[in-house]
Amino acid sequence: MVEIRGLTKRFGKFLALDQLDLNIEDGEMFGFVGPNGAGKTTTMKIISGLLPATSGAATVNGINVLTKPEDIKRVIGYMPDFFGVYDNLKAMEYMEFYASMYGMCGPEATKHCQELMELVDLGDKTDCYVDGLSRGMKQRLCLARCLVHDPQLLILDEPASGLDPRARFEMKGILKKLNKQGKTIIISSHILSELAEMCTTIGIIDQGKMILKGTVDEIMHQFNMANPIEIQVMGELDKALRILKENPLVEDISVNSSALLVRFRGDEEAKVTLLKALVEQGVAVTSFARETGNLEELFMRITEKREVLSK
Amino acid sequence: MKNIVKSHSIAEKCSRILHNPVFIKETKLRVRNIKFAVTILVYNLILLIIAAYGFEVMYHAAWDDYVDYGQVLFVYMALVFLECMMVAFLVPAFTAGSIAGEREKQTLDILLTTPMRPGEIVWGKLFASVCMVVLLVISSLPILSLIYTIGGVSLMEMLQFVGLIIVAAIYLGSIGVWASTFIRRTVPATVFTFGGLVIVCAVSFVIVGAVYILYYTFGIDLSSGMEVTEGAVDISFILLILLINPAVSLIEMLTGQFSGTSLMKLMNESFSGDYSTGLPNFLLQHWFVISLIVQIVLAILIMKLAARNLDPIGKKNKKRLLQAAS
Repeated sequence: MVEIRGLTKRFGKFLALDQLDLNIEDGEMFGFVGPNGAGKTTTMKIISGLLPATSGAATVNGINVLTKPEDIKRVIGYMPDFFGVYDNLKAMEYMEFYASMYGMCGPEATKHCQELMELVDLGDKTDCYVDGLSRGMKQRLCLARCLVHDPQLLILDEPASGLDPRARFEMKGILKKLNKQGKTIIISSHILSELAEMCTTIGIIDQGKMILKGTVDEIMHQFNMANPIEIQVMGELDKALRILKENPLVEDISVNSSALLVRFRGDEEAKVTLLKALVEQGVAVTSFARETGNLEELFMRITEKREVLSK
Repeated sequence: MKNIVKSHSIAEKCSRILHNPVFIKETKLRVRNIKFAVTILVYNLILLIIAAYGFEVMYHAAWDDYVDYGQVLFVYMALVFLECMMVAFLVPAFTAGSIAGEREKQTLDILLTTPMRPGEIVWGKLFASVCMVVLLVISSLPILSLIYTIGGVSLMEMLQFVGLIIVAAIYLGSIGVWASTFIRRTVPATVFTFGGLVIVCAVSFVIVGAVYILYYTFGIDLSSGMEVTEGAVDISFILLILLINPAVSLIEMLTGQFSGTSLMKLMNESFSGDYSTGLPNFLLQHWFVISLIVQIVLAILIMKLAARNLDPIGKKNKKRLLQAAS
């Protein structure tokens, strides 16, 4: 659905995107994660035809977004992170205005807009003025607006930003429903736990480059592989240390009261072999597990590295 | 969901102007705003006061028992002039915030992701503003028609006035819309548009006046820097700059309607020197219509510039990336 190769964007001397590569398949819900200024919004705007790229290639459904942005307008639905609404327009009029932009008008268009408003749970707000709606309602209305022309790709820049937990939960439910209907969704957010929960694939971007990309499980496995294995033994610490030192895949060992923290570069099979070696030689192992982190920790590690490098 | 409206024929394309979603939305929003109702009220109140005062003076200025109804033409001229001044102040206010306002409200990005072309967006904005001006003029017709019922002003002359107002609204409005596309905020865009109005209306006169003074007062030939004998050189070509000036079109209309003379003919006599006829007679006879056509053409060119400014990618970037890709 979306293919990006070597995408670069400069704002004067500032390099916002640095040879970004990205592939998003049909039907994926892709979560875009990164610190502020990483390049998420810039990437989304370029794909949506709102910003010219400096160089590179980007296609949506085979259409070159950079040279023919007008051809992708009917394929994508874009929701910016900050958006306004028109004063003195009712919610249904707002929807009908955007429907008319796609050439839809008349009773059929009104019916379609009504259905979309019911999908986002605003069916009873059609006669309300848009500027009188709550923040969460406006976000849902904007999402309904994105869907008016039945696009194949939704690009949502922080759709849950500023919403209370209830509103975020409702938004998540709607997005999952849309994804199940076959829509490809690119969504950026800082609420990583929610992204991890609903996205099929995650991409972590920093300083204009894609750092990691894959399913949540793949990314966390990759991240966790760098974490040490914590081994708790009952007595015979020296014996355990000796056995561990004999293993060539053990890089580093540190002792913490009764636990050993072992940096181990082997795969799962090698891990099993290591455990077997300890148990067969009589070491009483009470716990053998790799430290696991979460997306927040991964995010903190990335931003910490960036802060250190920038100093 | 299938598209319901599809335009293929020229007639359907023309009707698309009226069905332009931006035009419809803008018109809806403006008339719902209390400010517009207040504008119509104040606009007509000012005209009514001037008209009432004018008639009062006319009726009480008689030396004897007879009222000189010919003086109603002065009331008409005052009203026409006042309406044009008010339109000249209102049009920048209507148009300068058209795109800048969308940017400030953070609705522009969403607008640009829809299939509506930048040209359709800017023309929709302009037509909405022009419609507001037309609505104002129509609302003032009952006051103007007081003069029509008394006589001295024909229906054709009133239609000429309405035509002038519409063309001026399109022309000055195009400057406002264009300014709005590259100036990010409404207030600076409005100031820029007023500046454009001053350049078009006043600076063009200043240029003509400066050339006249240089040639005929200081006796300097601009092309050679040599002294010239007064009346020896035809500098009537400089009067062509006044084709872009809607104030001159207004004066030309009024002088043509009531005095039988023409401002431009008089100016042509002064600028053409003793040995030349100056500008072509056809141009001088039809200055009013030709100036309106020139202003419409200029408005179209300015709107093309505005559409180009609004395009977020631009032809240059597309060409560059296409060449890089190949």
